Amino acid sequence: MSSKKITLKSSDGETLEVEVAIAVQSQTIKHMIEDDCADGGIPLPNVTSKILAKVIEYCKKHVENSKKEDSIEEEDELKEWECNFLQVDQQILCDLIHAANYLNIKSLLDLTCRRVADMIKGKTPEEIRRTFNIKNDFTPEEEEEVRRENKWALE
Amino acid sequence: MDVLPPHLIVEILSRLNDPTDLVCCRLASKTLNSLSYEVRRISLLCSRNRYMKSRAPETRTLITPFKTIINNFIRSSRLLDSVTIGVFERSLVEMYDENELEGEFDDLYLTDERFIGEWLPFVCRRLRSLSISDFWSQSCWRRSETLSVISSHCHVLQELKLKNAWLSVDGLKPMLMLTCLTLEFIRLDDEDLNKINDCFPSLQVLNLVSVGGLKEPKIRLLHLKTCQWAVSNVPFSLTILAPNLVTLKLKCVRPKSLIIQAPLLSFLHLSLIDAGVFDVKDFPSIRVFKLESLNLSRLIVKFPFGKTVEHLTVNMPPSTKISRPLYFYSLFDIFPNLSSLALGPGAWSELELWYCREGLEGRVGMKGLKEIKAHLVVYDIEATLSCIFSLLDLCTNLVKVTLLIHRHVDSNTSSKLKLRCTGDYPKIRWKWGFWKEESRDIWGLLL
Repeated sequence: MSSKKITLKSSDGETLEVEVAIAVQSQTIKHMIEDDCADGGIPLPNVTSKILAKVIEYCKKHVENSKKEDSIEEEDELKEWECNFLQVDQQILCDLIHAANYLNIKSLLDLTCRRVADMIKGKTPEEIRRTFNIKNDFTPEEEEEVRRENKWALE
Repeated sequence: MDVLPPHLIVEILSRLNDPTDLVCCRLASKTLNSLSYEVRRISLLCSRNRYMKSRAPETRTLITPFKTIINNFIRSSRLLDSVTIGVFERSLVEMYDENELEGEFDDLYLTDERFIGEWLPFVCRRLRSLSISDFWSQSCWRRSETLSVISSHCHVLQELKLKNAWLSVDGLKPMLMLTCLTLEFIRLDDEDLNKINDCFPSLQVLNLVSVGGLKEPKIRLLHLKTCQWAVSNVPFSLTILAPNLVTLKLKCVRPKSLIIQAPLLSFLHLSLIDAGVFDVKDFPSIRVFKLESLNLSRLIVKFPFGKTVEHLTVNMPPSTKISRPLYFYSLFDIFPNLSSLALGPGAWSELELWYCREGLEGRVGMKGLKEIKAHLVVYDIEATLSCIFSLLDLCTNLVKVTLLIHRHVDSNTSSKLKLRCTGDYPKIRWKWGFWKEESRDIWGLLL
């Protein structure tokens, strides 16, 4: 049984053929198809082939999952899959967030942002800076003032 | 993280459930500090720790009052579209065992309409989701007009959840955008649910869990798709009129009258002892049916629908005596097109008892069964195994069998059981797991 396919072109010149049902998980791609701009393939100048492959992997899993029966076992299995899917370094996670935003895939954006939020959980300000390579641009007085304004959280 | 544009950083910060984490981000850099005030959602919970400190004489004056925290936070975060505030969860025992003096305080009385009125106007224009979980000892004896305040201010609210409060419906105005309403442990002064029905006509999801103050409640909502209702035995009658209802979970005791009109119902969970007048109109689309009742055998014949049910789950409280006739046989008469059957622990033990005394006979529907799931407590492994095998011999088209073994059964017995099953019936896809009372595997337990 043949299903309609569409060609996606990544920023580094590679092409990927994907079933339409999977590609339209991205609202951006969906609108381009509806507006008839999809002939000859859809160019995605903001997404590399490596990241695009990962995004398509995610969309495929979600299309498969939507056909299954709702049950506790399926939910757990999906959570485990998503956990494994996100075993990537920070740079790739960051790229996935960009891609999910650009391609407008709400569930992937939610998943990736939640993952970063989990990485922040329970950390001190210094630990947060170290994890994400953030420079402390407060003067000691400014830092003290922010601390005072938020003292309730540190009680 | 600096490579991310501001709005994506805000997306990440909005998913920090604990405000302490948000404050740590504020202290990390100036950018994070300013972006933190643009978060879209917030969840402020008064922890037990904070509560203890606010009562202990040595820390009482050093702790910022919880209501002040809420006020300051919400007023400085103008882009919020989702607000959750609450007090730490206590067990039912703790709730009723509370120090009487607690009632004299109101520092944690969150559904106080005057308190709500202090911060709600700052965010009401964008607010889509609001959840307030109150402190029972301070709220249960104070009648709150919070529904009036919320309905006056929040014109785009879609989801509302209120827990542990006494709610008046005086001054409640229609909220046409509200699609999801959850009331848990609420004393509601709307005895037949008239005001609720009239003011929330667009509801698609309604959850009423332990809502008291009802007399002859009637749910009549045109757009309702999902309904969960757990109600005590106080109401005289229960009526649900919902032409678009697809999923219904109803847990009641022994209503004198139970009327359900939901022609599109596909998914029904019913947990009750018995019902007097039982007017359940035909459900021509019902696919999944879960029934838990003390009088399972007697009740099951009252359901006029059965041909469309594909997935059936039954359970009853375990008993030592065997009721005649065995409920199991009537299942296949009433539900001839079953493809999967799940038996709760009480249902399985009754089947096993019966099997040991009388054996199991075949029934027509058994040959159509593809999947079985059972909750086992293994007292006598040979008896359990023989019962399982007898069932497998009768249901010749079974493909998948899921057996959940009670957590207290020792691992030797479980392993032996698994070995025998997979050895004797290798063609079956076996799935194993555990269950114990109150865990997720058990759906509803009767009193």
